[in-house]
Amino acid sequence: MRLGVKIAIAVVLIAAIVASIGAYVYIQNPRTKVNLIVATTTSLYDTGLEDGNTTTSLKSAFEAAYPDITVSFVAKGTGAAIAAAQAGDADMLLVHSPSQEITFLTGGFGVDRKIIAYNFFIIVGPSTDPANISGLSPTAAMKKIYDSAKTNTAIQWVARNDSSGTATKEISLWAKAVTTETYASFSTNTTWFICTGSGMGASLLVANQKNAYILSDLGTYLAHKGQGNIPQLTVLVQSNKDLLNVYSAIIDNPTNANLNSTHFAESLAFVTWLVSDAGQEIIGDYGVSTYGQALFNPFIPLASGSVNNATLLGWIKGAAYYNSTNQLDANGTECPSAYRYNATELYNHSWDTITVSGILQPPAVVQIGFSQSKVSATVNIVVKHKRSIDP
Amino acid sequence: MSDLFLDSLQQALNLIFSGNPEVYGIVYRTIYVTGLGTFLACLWSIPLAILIGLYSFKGRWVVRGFFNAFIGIPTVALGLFLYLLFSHQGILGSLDLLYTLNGIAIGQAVLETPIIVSFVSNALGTVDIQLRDLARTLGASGVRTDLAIMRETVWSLVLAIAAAFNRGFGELGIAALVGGGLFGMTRVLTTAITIETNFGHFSIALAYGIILMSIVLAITLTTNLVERLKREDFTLPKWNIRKSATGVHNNDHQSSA
Repeated sequence: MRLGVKIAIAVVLIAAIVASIGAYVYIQNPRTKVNLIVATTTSLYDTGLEDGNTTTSLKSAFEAAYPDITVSFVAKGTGAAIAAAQAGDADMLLVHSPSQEITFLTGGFGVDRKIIAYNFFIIVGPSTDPANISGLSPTAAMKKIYDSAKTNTAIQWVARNDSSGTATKEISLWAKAVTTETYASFSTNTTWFICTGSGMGASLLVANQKNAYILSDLGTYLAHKGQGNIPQLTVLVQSNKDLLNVYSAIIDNPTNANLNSTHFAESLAFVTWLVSDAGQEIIGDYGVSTYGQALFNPFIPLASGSVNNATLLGWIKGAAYYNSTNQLDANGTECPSAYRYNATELYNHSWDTITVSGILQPPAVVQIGFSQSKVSATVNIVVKHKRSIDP
Repeated sequence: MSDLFLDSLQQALNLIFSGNPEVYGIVYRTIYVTGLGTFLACLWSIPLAILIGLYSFKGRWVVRGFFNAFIGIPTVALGLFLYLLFSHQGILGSLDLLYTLNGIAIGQAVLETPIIVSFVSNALGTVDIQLRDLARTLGASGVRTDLAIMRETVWSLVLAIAAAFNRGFGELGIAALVGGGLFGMTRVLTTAITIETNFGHFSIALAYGIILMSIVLAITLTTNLVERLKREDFTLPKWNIRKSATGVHNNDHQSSA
């Protein structure tokens, strides 16, 4: 037999053996686990909170608590993530764009929206700050950039423009800041406005390279800053009501005919875990040891009152709560009851309990009013002196 | 910049020898996916190449041109097309191939098909037409004739498969769009590079790049080395008197069958 043929046969045999071993190993991997697919936003994913680290990430903690579920994250811009969930390619969403989220709910694609965390967007820019925006409010800062950029070529702005939650927020801020010209106009016909169409990390790198201003979420900025990737950028505008960034989870609607192959029970388990003490702690601790600062603020402690900041809670409700007519309404709820499905525990926390205490002189009538958001509540009446009580 | 490269080189060695199961998983997954993809591609590409290379039919030049053109298809475009096909809203949605390794393998098989078809059909086309007629007059049937001719061009086949494998090994578009880069499940070398870059871990990303290119280089050099050895019959590259005596240096007809 010719040498060439011998070699060919040897190669094929080796390949076959390697492939067989691989197939065996592959089959041995426990595929009886349910694989939960979460469509998430790149700015959230790129901080590493979801699965970037094998010890402090959501994935590692959740899978330790629920060994039968594997949770995988597919990171895209918010718009693309929502499209994936609408197509049924993902089981649930973890995004930060309330306006797009309510559309997802009203379109019948999602149920059981739950706010899990918040932080603030920041405007970062060159430390030389040619437009002098440090410390201003975001709309004032952006207006100043818009005005000064025409005359000062050192001033540039980088935008993502990729239908992400960050891009949506930025566009709404520009609409407030500049009323004389439309966003579509000055974002396309100018030399000082740069659109990347890319994720947060990539856009920050562009801003760093060009010494430009950019709106960023705190998490991605700190993550890249901490690794020394964006030395030219520094925080100039922060912590303002307009810069609030609210992260929510929404589960694919199992009653939607196109989405009946998604995993509702496992998604609900994950969302329930996210708002539990364990999940909220992971979220709140993330980044403290690496960056000296938490990248995210867990929402539940704020909502339940254990973190006392009524102003901030009011801001979040105003930015992310909806009423029964699907309008933004601080007196509404994070998920209108029409879009709740099989999740009474999610909206029935102990901090929904109304505690009435005081000295009641007979005859005493206690009236307890329920706002629209309360599906059920437990009323505890502690009686000190018992005479006779008509409940 | 040199700091980054040296740092990455060190990171690469660390990654390889650290025993980190995720790194081994990524490398093995990449080999598995591209291996499976190349194998599938061969299944339908080689018969196709024989058809195009050895049989003339009307419009053959159009078909050849078609495959030649698709050698350079952008992987992101192909990845997008397959994503739409494999999505639950797509035609093949019920096969559940999205975000799976097999989905990537099928995608890479499609990617590699034009390479194998073009290279092999071109190689077959160069085989002397008289050889085929000779085989046929000696009594070989259609398929056996084709196989006899294949034996003459087996090295072109090996090189075509190696080239196809390398193309699939280093492609990003299909692995990213069809695979999704899911941690521990569908993340391969190219998507690992993208994701580590997005995290800002540039050294680790470059390290994965070094690992990827090392494997591609190893495969290419090995293939070329074996081909060289075979051609010169294990003699060192000195001028061989025996060859000059025959007057004809034909590298396909050296040893007797």
